[in-house]
Amino acid sequence: MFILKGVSRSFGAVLALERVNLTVESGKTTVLIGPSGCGKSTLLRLMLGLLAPTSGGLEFEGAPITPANAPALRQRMGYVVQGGGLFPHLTARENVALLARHLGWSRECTEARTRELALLARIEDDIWDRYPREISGGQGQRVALVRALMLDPEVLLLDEPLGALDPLVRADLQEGLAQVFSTLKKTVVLVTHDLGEAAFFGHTLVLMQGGRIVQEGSLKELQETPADPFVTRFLEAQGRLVV
Amino acid sequence: MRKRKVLLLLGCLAAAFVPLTERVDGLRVGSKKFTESVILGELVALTAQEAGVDMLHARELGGTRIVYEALLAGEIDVYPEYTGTLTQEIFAGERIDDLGALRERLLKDGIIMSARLGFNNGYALGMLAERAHALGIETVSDLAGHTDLVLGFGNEFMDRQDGWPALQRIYGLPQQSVSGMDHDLAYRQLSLGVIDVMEVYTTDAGIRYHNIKLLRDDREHFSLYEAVLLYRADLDKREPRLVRGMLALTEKISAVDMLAMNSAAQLERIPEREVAARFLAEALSLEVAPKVETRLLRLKKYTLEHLAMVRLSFLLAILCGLPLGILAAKKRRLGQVVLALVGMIQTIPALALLVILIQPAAFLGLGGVGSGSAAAIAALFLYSLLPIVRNTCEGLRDISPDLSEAALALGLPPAARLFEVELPLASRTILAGLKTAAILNIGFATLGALIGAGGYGQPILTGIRLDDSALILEGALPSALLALLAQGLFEILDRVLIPAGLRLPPAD
Ligand SMILES: Nc1ncnc2c1ncn2[C@@H]1O[C@H](COP(=O)(O)OP(=O)(O)OP(=O)(O)O)[C@@H](O)[C@H]1O
Ligand SMILES: [Mg+2]
Repeated sequence: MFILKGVSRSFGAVLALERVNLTVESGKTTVLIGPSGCGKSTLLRLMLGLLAPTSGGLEFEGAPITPANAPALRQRMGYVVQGGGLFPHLTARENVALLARHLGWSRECTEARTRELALLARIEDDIWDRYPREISGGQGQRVALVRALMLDPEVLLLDEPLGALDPLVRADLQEGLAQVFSTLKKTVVLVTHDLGEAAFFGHTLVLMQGGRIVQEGSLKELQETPADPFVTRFLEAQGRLVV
Repeated sequence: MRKRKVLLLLGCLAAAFVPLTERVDGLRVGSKKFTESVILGELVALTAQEAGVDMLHARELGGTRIVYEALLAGEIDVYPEYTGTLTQEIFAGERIDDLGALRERLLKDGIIMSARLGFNNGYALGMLAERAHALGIETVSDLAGHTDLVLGFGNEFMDRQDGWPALQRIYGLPQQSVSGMDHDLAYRQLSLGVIDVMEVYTTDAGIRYHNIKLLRDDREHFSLYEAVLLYRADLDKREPRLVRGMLALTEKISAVDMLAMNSAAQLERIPEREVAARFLAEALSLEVAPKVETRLLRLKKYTLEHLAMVRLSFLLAILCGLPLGILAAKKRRLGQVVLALVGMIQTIPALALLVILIQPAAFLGLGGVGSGSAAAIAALFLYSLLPIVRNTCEGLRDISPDLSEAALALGLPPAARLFEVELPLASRTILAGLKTAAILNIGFATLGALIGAGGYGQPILTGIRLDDSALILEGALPSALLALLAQGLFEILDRVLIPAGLRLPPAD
């Protein structure tokens, strides 16, 4: 679905990504993992065409992503920014319906789609007319997810969708999300810096450090044939949590 | 919710176009902002009324430049002037030796000068009689012996060719502390002892009131200031009745008459119109019943004029300021240029801006001076831009990058992004800018009176001229109230226009 070839991106003197090669397969969940600041969010932004690479190229479904076609491509992708990115001036319902309304969907159609997704994401009924500041972080994350799924996108790009949640809620939501992904058979690119979560979701784990991909593969591959001492260190630092 | 907002905006727009002041397309007599000029203006207006011609008096139009330009531009048709002012100020630098030459020079501008009205109102230097006596000062030359006297002159006098610079040269005056101030305020300073010497016009009522001694011009420096009427050459054809009527005033007003009228208006606080009517009855046996205005009617008129100025200029400022602010937020480079330009306008002194704008307004066929003055509205518009543009730009730039990214990633088209996400998110800052602009605008609009646009500035100007605090308050109080009202209105507008979700306290 996505093919990245030698993608680099720098911000002034900071090299956020350095010659990244990556293939994201359809229908699979790819997890980007790595320490804070290693370039995970930047990589997602490049895939969405929100940022252009400094060098190298990206393809989506075989066609290169350019500033010209990016807006059209983005309508086929669902994105949840780090932190949810719900608009504080709109209620949960309005947030979710914003784009659909613009595309001229009927109210009934939007409502039906919202209900269907709410069920999947296990969202309580009584939060829909509240503003983002009136709902909890976890509820907000789920609403953001529903907003991203509204148009039934081919790909979901999720930047720490479960960040900053307490462990219990987190575990519960992981279940929910996993169910959503498998039910809808989506291609998912998910960012986390939690190894347990990566292992839970990921068909493929992509471990990054300092703007480079250190290794990609299943958790097992990473554990058994580490490409670099960093892999082992990273796994060990977090590994105590993995069963 | 959306419907309510749209209705509200449409309502505001509609309200902005309800005419508030009548536009008088008839004839206009102008006057400068001192009592004598206003009385002479009233005399002309009353003779017009007597002759059955509709004529409006654009009172207190500020200084000589403004009034003369207004006459040239056809904004007014006639106004009282002094020969000395014409030769020394308007045609400064041109050699004009006598009245005949002056008359010809004016004709070149398409303007006719009447015969003299009958009195000379020249410049003289004055001191409080007591102080002059104590120091033994009789003539201007005597001043040279008193180095530490404090001199205070009207701003016009400071700059005039025949004003302070020439006076200092010819009499060799050594005084160091010389300052320019408003002529009417100078009287106050003189009576308080802040200044010792000021310039006066020889028919000023203040001379009697403050018991001022005029210092003899022993070197005959000051020129003659014969009062005349200046009118547009086409007036003879357009309204011969009016010209005949007003020319009946020539050679009829003596210096004593004028000083008496000035005193009646200034010291006894008799309205200028009534003073003029009395004079016409006595000297010309013309019985004209002047239309009187009650305080309430006056207040209503000022309010409507003020609102008319504020409303149109503010609306235009919003219509231009919001797009400019959006542009500035989206295009960094261009934004800096726009903000710098708009900021620069703010530094132009208000009076200068008003004067600069009179000619272009007249050129475009818009009213430059008088009520509904396009120059005043344009100036207010320009002054209101800065807070609107700056706040719009800042409000948009301050939106958290997460949210802009979310809107972008959602695939909303640019227009929808702007209207549905960015503007609502920036609404609080934008409205704060509008509020500041409105309040500034209401305050600045009092300056519109300087070019005859009326409003609350009118009683303030008159009050300063007549040294009448009650009259000043008649303008200053409602203006302050209007500003408060605007403030209150914007608090309500905040409730309606800032989305409810943004008025909640931020989570965590
Ligand atoms: N717009 C930007 N301007 C300058 N530097 C940036 C910008 N965006 C990212 N960076 C830098 O690029 C590097 C990678 O940032 P990125 O946000 O991709 O990290 P991340 O892996 O998502 O981190 P985290 O887990 O904390 O979210 C960081 O060093 C960051 O400071
Ligand atoms: Mg990140």
